[in-house]
Amino acid sequence: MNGTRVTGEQTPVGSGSIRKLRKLTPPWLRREPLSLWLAAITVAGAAALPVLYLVVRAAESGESAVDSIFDFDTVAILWRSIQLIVLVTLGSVLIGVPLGWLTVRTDLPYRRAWAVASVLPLAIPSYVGALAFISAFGPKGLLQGWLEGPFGVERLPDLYGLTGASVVLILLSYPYVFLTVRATLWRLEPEMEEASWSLGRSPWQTFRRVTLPLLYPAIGAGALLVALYTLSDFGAVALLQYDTFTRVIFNEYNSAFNRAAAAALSLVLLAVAVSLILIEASARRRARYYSGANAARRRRRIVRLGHWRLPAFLFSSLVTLLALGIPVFVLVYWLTRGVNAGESGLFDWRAVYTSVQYSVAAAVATVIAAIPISVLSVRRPGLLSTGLERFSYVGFAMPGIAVGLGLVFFGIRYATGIYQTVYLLVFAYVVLFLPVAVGLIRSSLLQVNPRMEEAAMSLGRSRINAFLTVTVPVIRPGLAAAAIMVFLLTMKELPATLILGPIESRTLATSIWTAAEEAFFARAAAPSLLLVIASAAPMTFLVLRERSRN
Amino acid sequence: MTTEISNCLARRTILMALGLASVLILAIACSSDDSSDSSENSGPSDEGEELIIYSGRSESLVAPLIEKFEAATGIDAKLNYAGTGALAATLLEEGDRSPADVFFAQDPGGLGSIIELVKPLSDDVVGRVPDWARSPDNLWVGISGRARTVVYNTDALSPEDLPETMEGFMDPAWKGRIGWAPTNGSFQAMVTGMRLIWGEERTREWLEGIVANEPKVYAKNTPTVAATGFGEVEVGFVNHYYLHRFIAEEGDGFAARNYFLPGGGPGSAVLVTGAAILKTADNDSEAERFLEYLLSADAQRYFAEETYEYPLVDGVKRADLLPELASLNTPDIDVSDLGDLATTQNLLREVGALP
Amino acid sequence: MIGLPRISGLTGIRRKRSESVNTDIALRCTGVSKSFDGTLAVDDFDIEVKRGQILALVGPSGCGKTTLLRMIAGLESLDTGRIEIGGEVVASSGRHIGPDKRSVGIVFQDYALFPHMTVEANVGYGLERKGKSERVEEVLGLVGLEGLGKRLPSELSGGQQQRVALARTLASKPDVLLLDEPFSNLDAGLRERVRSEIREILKAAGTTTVFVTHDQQEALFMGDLVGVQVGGRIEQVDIPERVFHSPATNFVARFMGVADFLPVDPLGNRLVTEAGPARAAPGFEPPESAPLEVMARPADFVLAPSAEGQGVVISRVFQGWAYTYEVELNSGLRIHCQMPHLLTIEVGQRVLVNLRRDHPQMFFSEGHAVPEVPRYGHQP
Repeated sequence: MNGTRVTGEQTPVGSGSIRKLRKLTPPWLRREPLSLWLAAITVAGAAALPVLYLVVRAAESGESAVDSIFDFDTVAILWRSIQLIVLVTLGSVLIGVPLGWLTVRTDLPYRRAWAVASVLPLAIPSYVGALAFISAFGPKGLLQGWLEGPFGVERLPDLYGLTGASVVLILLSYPYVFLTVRATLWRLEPEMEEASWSLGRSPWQTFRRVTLPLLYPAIGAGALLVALYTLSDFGAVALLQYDTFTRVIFNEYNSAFNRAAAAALSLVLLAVAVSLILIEASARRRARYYSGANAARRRRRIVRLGHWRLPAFLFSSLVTLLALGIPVFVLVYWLTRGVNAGESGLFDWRAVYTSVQYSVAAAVATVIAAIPISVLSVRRPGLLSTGLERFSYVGFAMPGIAVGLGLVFFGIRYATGIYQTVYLLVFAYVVLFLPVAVGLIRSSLLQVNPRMEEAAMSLGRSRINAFLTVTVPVIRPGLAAAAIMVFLLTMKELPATLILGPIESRTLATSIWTAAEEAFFARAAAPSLLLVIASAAPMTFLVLRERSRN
Repeated sequence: MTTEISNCLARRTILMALGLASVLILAIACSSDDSSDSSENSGPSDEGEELIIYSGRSESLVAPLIEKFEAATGIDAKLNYAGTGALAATLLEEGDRSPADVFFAQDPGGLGSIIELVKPLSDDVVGRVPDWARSPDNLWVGISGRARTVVYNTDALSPEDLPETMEGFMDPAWKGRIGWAPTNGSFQAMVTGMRLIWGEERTREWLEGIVANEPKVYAKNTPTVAATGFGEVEVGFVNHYYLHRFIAEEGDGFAARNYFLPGGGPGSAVLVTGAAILKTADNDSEAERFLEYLLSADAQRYFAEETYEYPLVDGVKRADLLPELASLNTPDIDVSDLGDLATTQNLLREVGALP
Repeated sequence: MIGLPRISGLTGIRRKRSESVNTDIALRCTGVSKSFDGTLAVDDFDIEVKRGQILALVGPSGCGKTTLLRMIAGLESLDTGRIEIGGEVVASSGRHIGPDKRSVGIVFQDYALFPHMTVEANVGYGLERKGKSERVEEVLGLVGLEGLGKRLPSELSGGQQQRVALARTLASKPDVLLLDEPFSNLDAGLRERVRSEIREILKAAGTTTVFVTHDQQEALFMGDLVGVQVGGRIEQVDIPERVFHSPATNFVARFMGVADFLPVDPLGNRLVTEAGPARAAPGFEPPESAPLEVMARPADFVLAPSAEGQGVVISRVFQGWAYTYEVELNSGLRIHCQMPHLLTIEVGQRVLVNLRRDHPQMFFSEGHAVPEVPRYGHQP
């Protein structure tokens, strides 16, 4: 069918038989059932609980909470956060887009391997990454130690502050952009680029004037995730000595024990997150022309890099080396040092087991929870459905501790039965990672022609049956991708797990934290490596699958 | 699509969904089973109820102690580990529905914030520690002591180079050589002590003096000590026992040592970790036994030898590496007075030490 | 012989080739072949298209037509053979000039308009800045879309989108214009009207066009030359009338319209079929020992209800001014016959079937026309 959408019923494009079919279906069939709306609202409502908690807490101390906001020279700190967000987002786009393009569209050797390696940094928790970088690049770090001897390097460039924090966060979060860009690149109609080419534009011009603009929605989606992640990150910025807004919030919780002030500040953070979401939303709206088209089955055009091969190769190597190589190397270094020093019991298999269990449960639950919102926002775009979809993003921006405490607040009052059980914890994970799942499932759903479902229903299938037999097989890859992403993010989640986790349970993330708190680096290294490995397997699967499908 | 194929597809998708659902349920069921097992090492007897302890002290330090406790008393202890602040906040949120029995905190501030939620301890328990190391109303008791100290890099400095009191570090000669962690609870407790002993003005001056020397800021004690050892800074204001952790991990060659200010003053304050029994505890006797255990010779020896902290109970010797508590010239303040950090934080913000 | 340089510096935009250069033949393919994974997609393709001509390539789906088009455009490379555009060799076994440097425009089946650009921006995409807006206006006028320049493609109907795609390629005055199944996305009613409009536009612009379709009606209507392609091979290229009336092979005959083949028994100087004698052109020589067939289109039969007829009507399709009957002859062979609606024959009636004798028929033997019809006919 067309790559561009034709408006309404004015001049229908398409074979006559589908039109006939559409006229046959009664109007009620075309409306989504009430149960779907209820499900979506329930899920969004669940995501709203922590926000509600923050409002309650902030409100109860009334004026003093508002005062405390202004105590903090809020604007200056917010500005610091915003600077960081801008730099990290920009950097992630500058790395994610070329890498995405290189691994999908060119003849870069070992593309699959690069694709997997490029995604893996997502598996590294930010505090581990920061620790590793400091250990490697710090003024008296590993690297400097080695370079001092033969090269007389006394001091490496300072890793702390805005520069260091930006670099580390860029390296750990560019995969978000990488993934969204890749997903879209697979789906772009090759004809558009071929048309540009045959109109006389060189491949580079084609990329700049046709491909890139069509990638903007995907870049926006990835950038939003990066921005929200940076906004709520605490681990890395604390270690790299760059004070952002989250630091202030954490201080309120951990030093001042002032929940009201912390809640008020969290709401300010949320407001920033909401503005980011709205910015992306308006950019997305302007790009409404791009409705996901069914890309042709034809072989994809591969761009021959020619003498650009070497620079491309170096670029990819550098990124992988920094983002993945350095952390893994440092972790292995610590681990071997610990093993050599005779430390035992470094590999906690029970923590692995627990982590995987929680992550699998979170993945399945989140994907299921995300489906109603995704379906509604794609099939019935309107104020309510888009509102629900946008709203689900707040969970990603909130500090984990706020989500945790919010659920403690509600859990202990209204859900005592599941308090401090896995169920509530999985619920927290759903709240935290819902937007990631919604985003991935949405873009998958955009590929499906709703007429197919309607055709199935006109042929006698019930709505559910039609959905299961026609739509689900097509969006299965999107569902899988969503599940795997949530799995990954849950594996490394810390604050909510600490607060809501069943007593006596231990995950890899909490083990890392426990060990790192007391400077037991070897004991922190082992679960860190296990975390990376455990996350690597599904990520590899995801990337390879995507490839073979196309 | 023929009916057979579509039915087959429908069936397959439903089966897959059921499969996933069962995985989900299994996963949850297994993990709840797991969590209801106690730790794998001990085999507590069937007698003894559960004791639920929220511990702001990390698992790596506390777990061995818990094992011994369970073995000695037969009580089944369940530990919830997290940051002291997060746990305090959790306790406050849980309110009177909290399942927790005991709160074991890293610092008095944490205990102070939940003071409404605890019940008074018996004299028997609190009597074991010196007066300055417990709450005046018997609401909590100190368990182990940590002294504020100055850690210095041995490659760059020797003890002669270091000033007698904290005020000595205001000298511009120290510019760029100091490391501190103003967001850290212990540091803030120390500054609170300064305010109590020196008064607001002098404390402010000191803070401004240090800020003028452009200290490097770290998140906590651990990175400060690490930085000092690696030469990133030459001195750091920390709690004494972290150094020993590093020496144990890195070896004697670790280039840092503790310097206890000969001049004493608030820079040498001794802080304590503490524990309290919550109002929501349903088994007071077990809880008390736990606290008693923590204050027993066994446990205090553990703190002395394994974590290099100061035991608070008479008769237990500190580790050899540590100087005598008495020799530290500790200032005369009640630890419980160090609990109110809010004013201190405002001060820190005013001088630009905190964001 | 030396025209303007084909590439304008770094912008990579083609300059229009000077008219004075070279030839009258806008496109020439010689022996062009291409295989994909061992299967031959295009097999020894030869064609010559004069300037201003429209060549319609028709054949069943999957016969390599689109591949051929892409090779001419430069989006695929060829294995053997040579492609010349405007006299310049753009592709051969050793040489491949990319699409951005050929003077070829291609309109894809789903138009591939740039959704993020307005109509104006789309149409002007391949043009240099100088004179762009004038040319865009000119070309929009040519395709009948004046005033729609500021719209986005998503705001246009299918027919309008197609015209934008056409305008976009026409703007830079390519030597050859390629259209890939341009009308298959349109509704039947729209199709005919759009076809004639497009043909007018193409003729007005004087552009050499190769367009590809699977609809023989379209090919006959649009093309100055019609090429029938199957399995990568050209079966016949000629003017539409000859391809329809003098097909070179059985396949071409069947493809271009309903065609029935009756066995012929040459008895003496009479050519006898089950539907009576067939009339041949003067000087017709039946082959010595090979079987002979006569080709008859539905209009070549006459039916008359008769109890002694040699056929039975097995189905009837009403087409407005005529009925098309399918008749099964006694031998089991089925033929189609078109009769004006004034006479209505019911299904199941026995009929007498006769071949018209007012014009000579086409004869075939072993799949080929007898006498042989040249594969590559040319305009008279």
